[in-house]
Amino acid sequence: MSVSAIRRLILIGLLISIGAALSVANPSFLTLDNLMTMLQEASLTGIVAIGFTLVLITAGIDMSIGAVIAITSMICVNFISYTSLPAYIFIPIALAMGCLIGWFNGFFITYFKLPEFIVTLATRGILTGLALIAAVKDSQGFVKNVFIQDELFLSFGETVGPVYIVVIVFFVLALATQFFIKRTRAGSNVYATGANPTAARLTGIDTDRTLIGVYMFSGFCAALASIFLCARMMTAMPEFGIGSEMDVIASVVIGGTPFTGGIGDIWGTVIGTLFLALIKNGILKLGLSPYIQPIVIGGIIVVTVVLDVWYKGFAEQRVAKLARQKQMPTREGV
Amino acid sequence: MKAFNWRQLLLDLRLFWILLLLMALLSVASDRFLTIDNLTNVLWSVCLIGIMCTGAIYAPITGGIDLSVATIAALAGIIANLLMNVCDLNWLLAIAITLGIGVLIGWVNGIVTTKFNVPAFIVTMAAKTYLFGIAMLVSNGDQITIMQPKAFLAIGIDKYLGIPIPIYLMALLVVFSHLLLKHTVFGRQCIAVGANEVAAKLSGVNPDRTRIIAYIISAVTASIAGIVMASLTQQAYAMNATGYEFDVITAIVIGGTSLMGGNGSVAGALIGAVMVGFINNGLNLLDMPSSYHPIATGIVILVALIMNQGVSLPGFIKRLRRPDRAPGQTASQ
Repeated sequence: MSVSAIRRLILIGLLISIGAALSVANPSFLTLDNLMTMLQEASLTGIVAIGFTLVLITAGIDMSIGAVIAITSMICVNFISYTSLPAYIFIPIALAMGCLIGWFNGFFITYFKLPEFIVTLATRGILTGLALIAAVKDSQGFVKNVFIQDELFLSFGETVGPVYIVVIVFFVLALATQFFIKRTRAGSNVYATGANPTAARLTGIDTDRTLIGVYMFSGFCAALASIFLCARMMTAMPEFGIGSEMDVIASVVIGGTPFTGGIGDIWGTVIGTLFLALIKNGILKLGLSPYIQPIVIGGIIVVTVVLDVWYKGFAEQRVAKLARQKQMPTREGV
Repeated sequence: MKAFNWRQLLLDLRLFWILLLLMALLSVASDRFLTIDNLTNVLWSVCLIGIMCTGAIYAPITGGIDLSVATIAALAGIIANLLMNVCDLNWLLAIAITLGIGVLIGWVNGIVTTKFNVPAFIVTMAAKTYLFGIAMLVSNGDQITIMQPKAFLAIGIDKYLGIPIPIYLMALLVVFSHLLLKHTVFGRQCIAVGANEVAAKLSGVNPDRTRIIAYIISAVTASIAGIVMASLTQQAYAMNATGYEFDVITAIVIGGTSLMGGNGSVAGALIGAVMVGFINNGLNLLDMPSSYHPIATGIVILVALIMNQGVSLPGFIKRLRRPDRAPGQTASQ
């Protein structure tokens, strides 16, 4: 079995055992209501994490996703309160805005050869400010709470049977993205760009276009998550999504996509998202202080990365040992 | 002997000219700008950013970055208060222990970055997240007012020869950091590791050790800034310095330090800190809402970075017409 498959089995085992422990500790954990809410929370993070995984596979990073969520929700709210346009017109505009921000990130990264994280941190700052400026204000200049009443928009937050629509969208998107990166040429270009950009360029892959495309997809995913978030909350605030980058990074890292690029897939991210949602729900259900949550999320990122490096070193040693053993007879033969 | 080159001098001092231009613009735009009160105000905010910059600059020089400085500062204030007022320790001992915790945080950042090959910004972002949680947990989420001991509060409030003590502290740290970077073996090693890690390793420099020390320096100066901030504002709060890390990075980038590593200027970072202070102050004076601050910081970071890459506006327009030659392409390929 491959290293990543064992890793994934361990994660699923942990997922089940933590879930079992939680349902023993608190009976209100194992109710359909709680599980579905947890799945909905996970899907909101997960949709963003899918786009983020692709960015991470190209060895980049996108810190602007939280701010994209904020600005997209503000665009929707502005359309709702100042125009009477129907939702099927302004939702595509909001999604296109996400793509545009991604294009902007990608352009600065590829054209000026700037470090990814600083470009996306700068756009994060710009978008955070813009979201506050674009917020709908009352006559005194305070941010007004707009209640969304659009039927179609609110239907995004509804359920099909017991399952929320966002969960279905999450799994469909995960399936489609997994197919895209594993089975199409553009998908393998993403892997090639991350594994060795110079080699990819020399093979004739347009790495700049691939990178810009990946950042646009990341922006699109964040915008999509934002629409579901607004529909669920039935309102939008300029603080939506700010600081959610750490949740997304933690989910993707738990899922086994390293920062070095060239490796990773969507199923890992899906498992990682579920894992993180379970832990966050567990902290809530065990009645722990909410301040523990950032400690756990920050700690998980560091610990997972450290364990991964240890495990990788261990696996490599074992492979090297096996290879040496297999070589022995041939050496004697020579 | 080399002839004295006026053009070179003008170029070297270009940051200073931009600063003067900014001051002139602000004093035209607002008549409240060039008053003693306002300039003192700017100096306060510059002081904290300046102290953080003197240490935080070592991370970019070695090719990394430290995004956790602001949270370390907030945590330092809370811990110092806890040690002095809850554990009743001597204030000097409390400061020493706080700085020791700063060393520990920097060491963890450095170890995870170097030994486990994780990008520095991820490690320090994670550190920022969990340190914020710890700060909230320790302070119980409260805004603590520090009333005791007088000697601790004197750090921020007292004046010597009419100049506040934090200014002396900043000047001392700037001189120290400049000497460390430009005139010691360690400073040279930092630059070597940031410029070319393999070459540095082959010439006998231990890159991991150099980087770990760089993160320790960064965390310690952040703790010093946190202590100064706590005694200046007389309060300790987990959200005290939120967003300062962006101001620090902006200052460092304006100062001409490339985030790719391999060069850096403490004096430039200081001018950058003053410029950030003026920009924030100018936005306040022009009655702009606070939401314009991150926008201004973001744009300044992008523009400064692009200028550090050696792109000028006429050249950029020329290249846009001929997109086959993007800047930096020869360097990276």
